[in-house]
Amino acid sequence: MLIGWRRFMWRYRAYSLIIESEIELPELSPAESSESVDLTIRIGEVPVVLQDPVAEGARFQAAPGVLLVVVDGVGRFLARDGETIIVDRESGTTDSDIRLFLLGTMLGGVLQQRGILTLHGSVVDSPQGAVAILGHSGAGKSTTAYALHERGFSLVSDDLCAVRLNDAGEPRVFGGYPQFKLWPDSLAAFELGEGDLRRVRPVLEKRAVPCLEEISTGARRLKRVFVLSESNSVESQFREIQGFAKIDRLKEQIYRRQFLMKEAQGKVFETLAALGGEIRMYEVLRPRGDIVLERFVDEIVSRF
Amino acid sequence: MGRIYWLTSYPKSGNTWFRAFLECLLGEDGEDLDLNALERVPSASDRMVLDRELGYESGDLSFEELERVLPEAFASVARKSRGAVFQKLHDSFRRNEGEVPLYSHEAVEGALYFIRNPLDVCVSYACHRSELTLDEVIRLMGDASHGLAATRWRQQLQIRQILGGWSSHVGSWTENDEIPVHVIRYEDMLDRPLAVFESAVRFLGLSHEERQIEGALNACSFERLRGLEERSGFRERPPGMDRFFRKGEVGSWRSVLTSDQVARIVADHRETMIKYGYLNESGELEF
Repeated sequence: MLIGWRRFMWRYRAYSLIIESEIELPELSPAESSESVDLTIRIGEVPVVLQDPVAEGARFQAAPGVLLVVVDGVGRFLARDGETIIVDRESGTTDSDIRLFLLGTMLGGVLQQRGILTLHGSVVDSPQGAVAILGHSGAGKSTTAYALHERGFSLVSDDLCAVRLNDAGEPRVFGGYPQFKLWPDSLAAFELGEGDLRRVRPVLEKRAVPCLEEISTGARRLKRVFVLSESNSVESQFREIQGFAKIDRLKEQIYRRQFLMKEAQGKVFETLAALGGEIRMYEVLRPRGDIVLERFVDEIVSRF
Repeated sequence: MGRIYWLTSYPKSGNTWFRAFLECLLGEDGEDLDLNALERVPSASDRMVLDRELGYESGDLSFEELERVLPEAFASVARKSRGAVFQKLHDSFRRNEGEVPLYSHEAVEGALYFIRNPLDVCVSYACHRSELTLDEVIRLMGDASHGLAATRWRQQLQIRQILGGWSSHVGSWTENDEIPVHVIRYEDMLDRPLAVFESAVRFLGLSHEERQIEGALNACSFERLRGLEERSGFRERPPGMDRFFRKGEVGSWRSVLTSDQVARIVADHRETMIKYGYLNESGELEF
C-alpha cells in the first residue's frame, strides 16, 4: 500500500466548526486532532468568475453552495458547500492580508452556506447570558465590545455573531476567536499603544488586539441584543424593539446578506424567528464623534 | 442598465435642497417628504452601499485600493438598476492611482454641478463645521489637499472624498472633458426657481410637467425643510451645529465676514468668481 504525502494541516475551532487549514491561523483557538472536520481551507486555483452566478457585486459572485470573492492585490477566495475554502493568493500579499478576508467575509460566507444565522456584530458574555452588539461598519461595535470586555464581560466573538439551533430547537450563539480589531482612535480611548499591536493588514492603521484570556467556544444563550447606529444627537438614546419588529431588525443585521442563497434561507430564518422570541432587543443611537464611553457602557450594562 | 447622474458640489451649495426636490418630484402623489430618508438620491460615498457591492468591508481596503475598485462598484450598481440613478457627491472629479477616472465610465450620463458664491459658502461651511473658525475655513477653501472622511485613524461611514480648494473643485467638474456637466448657481435656484429647476430636470432626462415641478418646489421650500428639521431632526446635520437648514440666504457673508476675510477669498478664487458672475469685470462683488 502506498502512503501519499499529505501537507501539514493546522486544526482550529471557531463558531462551532472544526477547521482544518493549510494556512496557519494563529488568531484561532486550536482544536483536538481527533474531532471530525467541518471546514477545510486549502491553497489552490480559484476561477476568475463563476459560470452561473445568482447574485453578484463588483467583487463577489454567489450561486447555491458557491461563493467567489476577489480582493485585488490580495487574492481570490472560493467557498463551497460550507465545507471548503480555496485561497488563490496573489504574489506579494502577506499572510495578514489573506487572514483578514479569510476569517471575516469568507468564514461568514461558509457559515451562511451551512444555514447558520450570522449577524454582523460582536458578542460578550454576562452572568445573565450572552449579549450581542450589532450594527453596520463603523457603528462602534468592536469599541463597545472592548469596553464591555474591560468591565469584565468576557469576549465571545468580535464582528461576527454565529447563531444556530440546538437539538431542542433553541438558538445558541457560539464563540469565535480571541481577538478584537480596533482603529487607532479607539486604541487611544483605551490607552492602548499602537506600537505593540499588529496591523490587521500592512496597509491599514487598524490593529489586532489579542484577547489575553481564553474564550470559551461552547454554546450560549443569547439574552440581549443592541443594534448600534450613529446619530448627531448629544445624548445616546435607547429604544426597546418589541414583537415581530425584532425579527425585521435582526434581518437587517445579517452579515453579508447579499451572499445568502435561497436554499440556506429556510434554516437561517427559522433561527431568526426562534431568536426573536428569546431576546430583549434595543435600538441604540450613539452620538457621533467623541462620546463619554464610560457613561454609554453604563447605559448598556444597566439593560443586561 | 441604469444611467448614473451625479449631483455634485462643494459642500453647502444647494445639493441637499435639490435632493429634497427630486425626492418630492419622484415620489408618489401625497407622499410626505422624509428628510431622513432621501433614498432616491443616496450618497455615492456611503460605505454601506460599497460594502454590499464588494462583498467585504470597504474599510478593509486602503483609500488607494478602494479607489481602484470604485468605478467598477458604481458600474455594478448601475447594472442592477433601471432608468436614471441619482447619486450625491462632494468629491472632486479626479482619477485613482491607476489614472482611471472615478466618476466617468460607460454607465455615467452626466453631472449636475451646484455652485454658490464662495463668500456665502465660507459662512455656511463654518457653521456646518463648528470646530473651525472662519479663517480656518478660508484656508481650507484654498487647500488642495482638503478632504472629507480622509483620516486613516478611524473608520467613518463615508469613504474619503478629496475636495481640494473651492476653485479647483469647480474646475475639476465643470472643465472635465469626459462627461456632460450642467452647472446651476445657488443664487439662480433662489431667484428663478421654476426655470432653473426645470432646466436641471430636463438635463436629468426627466419628462415631468411644469406643474409637477412647481408642486415639488412648494413641497421642499426652505421654510418647509426647516420646519421638517425642527420636527424630526436631520441625520445629515453634523454634531455641534444647531440646524442644517440655517438661513439659505444670498449675501449673508456681508454681515459676517471682515473686509480682510473677503479680500482673501477673492484673491484665492478671483478667476472662478468672475467666470460664474460673483465678481464683475471691475472687481465689484455681486450678490
